[in-house]
Amino acid sequence: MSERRIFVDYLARMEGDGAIDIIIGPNGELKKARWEVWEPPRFFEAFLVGRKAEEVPEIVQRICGICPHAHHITALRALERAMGVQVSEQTVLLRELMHYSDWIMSHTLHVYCLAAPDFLGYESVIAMAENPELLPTVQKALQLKRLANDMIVAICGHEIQNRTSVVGGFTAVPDGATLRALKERLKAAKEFAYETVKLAAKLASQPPCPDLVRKCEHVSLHDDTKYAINDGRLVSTEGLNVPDWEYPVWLIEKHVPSCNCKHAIIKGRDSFMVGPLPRVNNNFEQLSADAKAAAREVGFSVPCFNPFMSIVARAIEIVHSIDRSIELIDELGEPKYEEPKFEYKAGESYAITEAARGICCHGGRIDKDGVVQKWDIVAPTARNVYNLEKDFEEFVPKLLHLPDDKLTLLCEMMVRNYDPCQSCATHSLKVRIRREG
Amino acid sequence: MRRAVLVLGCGNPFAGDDAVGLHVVQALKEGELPAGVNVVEAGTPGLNLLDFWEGYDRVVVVDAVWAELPPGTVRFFSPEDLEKRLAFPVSQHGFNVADALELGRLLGRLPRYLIFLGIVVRECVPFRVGLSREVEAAVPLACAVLRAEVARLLELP
Repeated sequence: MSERRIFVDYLARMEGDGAIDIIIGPNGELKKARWEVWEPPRFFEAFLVGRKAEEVPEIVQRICGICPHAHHITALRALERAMGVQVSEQTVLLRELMHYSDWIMSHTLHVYCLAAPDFLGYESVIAMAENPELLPTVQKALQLKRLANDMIVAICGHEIQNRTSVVGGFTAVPDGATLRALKERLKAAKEFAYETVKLAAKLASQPPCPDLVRKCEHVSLHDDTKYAINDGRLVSTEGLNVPDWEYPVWLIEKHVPSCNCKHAIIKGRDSFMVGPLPRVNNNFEQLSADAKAAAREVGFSVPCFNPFMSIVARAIEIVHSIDRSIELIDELGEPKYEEPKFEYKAGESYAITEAARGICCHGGRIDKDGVVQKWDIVAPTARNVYNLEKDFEEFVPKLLHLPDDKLTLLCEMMVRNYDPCQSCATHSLKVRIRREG
Repeated sequence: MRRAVLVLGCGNPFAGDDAVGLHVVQALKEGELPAGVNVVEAGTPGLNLLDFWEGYDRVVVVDAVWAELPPGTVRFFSPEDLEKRLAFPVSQHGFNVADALELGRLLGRLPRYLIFLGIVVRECVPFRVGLSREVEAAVPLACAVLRAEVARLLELP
């Protein structure tokens, strides 16, 4: 038998670097299983040094157009803790609503535009829309994405990057009537969210997905009182339970001699997974009642260690995000303008929020004049790379009987399970399969 | 349906010539505009294009294009030209203008008059602000033909 190679590179950005590169030896042994990642936040850490504290959340939201609010809110929380800034309850609620809008947008886009075409055997969401039976589903998905974008505009004054949220609070707040109009649209979107859970469960039940189970440590935020998104303790399915600001101690990066990328591990243990599946596993009880009911209806039970079930976890979180957004709008009532206030104070702190695709970590040290001395950023995708490679190692040998095209698709799906933050690049995958030997 | 024209300037301001669509609509806004003309710097809108033109029946999209023509060439394209891949709009986002167009057609969400004004680029280099010489020089011409096209569209019944 000859050597077999699965190689998938990215059309954009990667300048021909291998993105997925798997080499299977003549006897079916895995000789290489690598996913190479572009890590833009690294530039940011360096050029934030010397900036004023209040510029940090403004700048870091530009790391990513898909999860800008995760980076923004994490930086806010780290800075506010470092400088001892207290924010109002209204600010906490608005930030939560802002972040849930992002989840709804990102999860909907992922489920329908990236994952569903994979599972259904379409080249893209456009090809999917060409099927008249699926066209209404695509239409509804785009409507839900639009609703999420409109929520972001109402709170942030702008699509994608926000123009209202700053250290200490908000420079402008949405009016109650705008929020209530969004609430009506959210209520109307619930049915489609249920349908999404059912569809996701059906898709993930297709062979060979149900057999691809690999137990690994699942890491997320956790709060006993509510589903953790912007705040909480850092927990795992293996008993990690520490304050979020201690992440630099527990989540570390190991250099691997044969590889030029770093591997994220938990101190004293090994690789771990972050994202919707770990969140649902660690926080099932805190999901909204309807989200739990939808999960039970499709037979989803925790803990679940099948990464292909991430699409189901994401769909369950769409239901939850809608329910929680409605609650938040009720709690906010008529938001009032409160002047954001803070004073510079020397300090060091770290924080975590849950980006749609997993924990997003920021933190650093500022001096008495509010000048950044050091800043650390770790995006969720960087946490997942090593874990994904372990999925390759575990699953690929089980799938060797498949022809190259099926095996390649499944490898791509293993990447997309993690909804990597280069999902834009992942969309334009260019595939090349090479047999060697 | 409003009798109004929407002009969408597309491009990434931090990718060299890719920003030319933004430069052209900025130049358009500097001059006086007839009533009923809306100009939006849409950036790299992807599928949001469909939302931008909701409610408009006449739309001009101004964007950087790759084509086998000298850099700085200014050409109108129709959606059909794009489909045949005569020109590739440059976008780093997953869904580009061509994708939005295809999906818009399937969803029945295309404006009645949809016109593309393409400016042929030399290079789209990441992390570079500013246009190359030939492309920069084409901005006034692109702006002039855009202005004429907008006037024509406004007069259509």
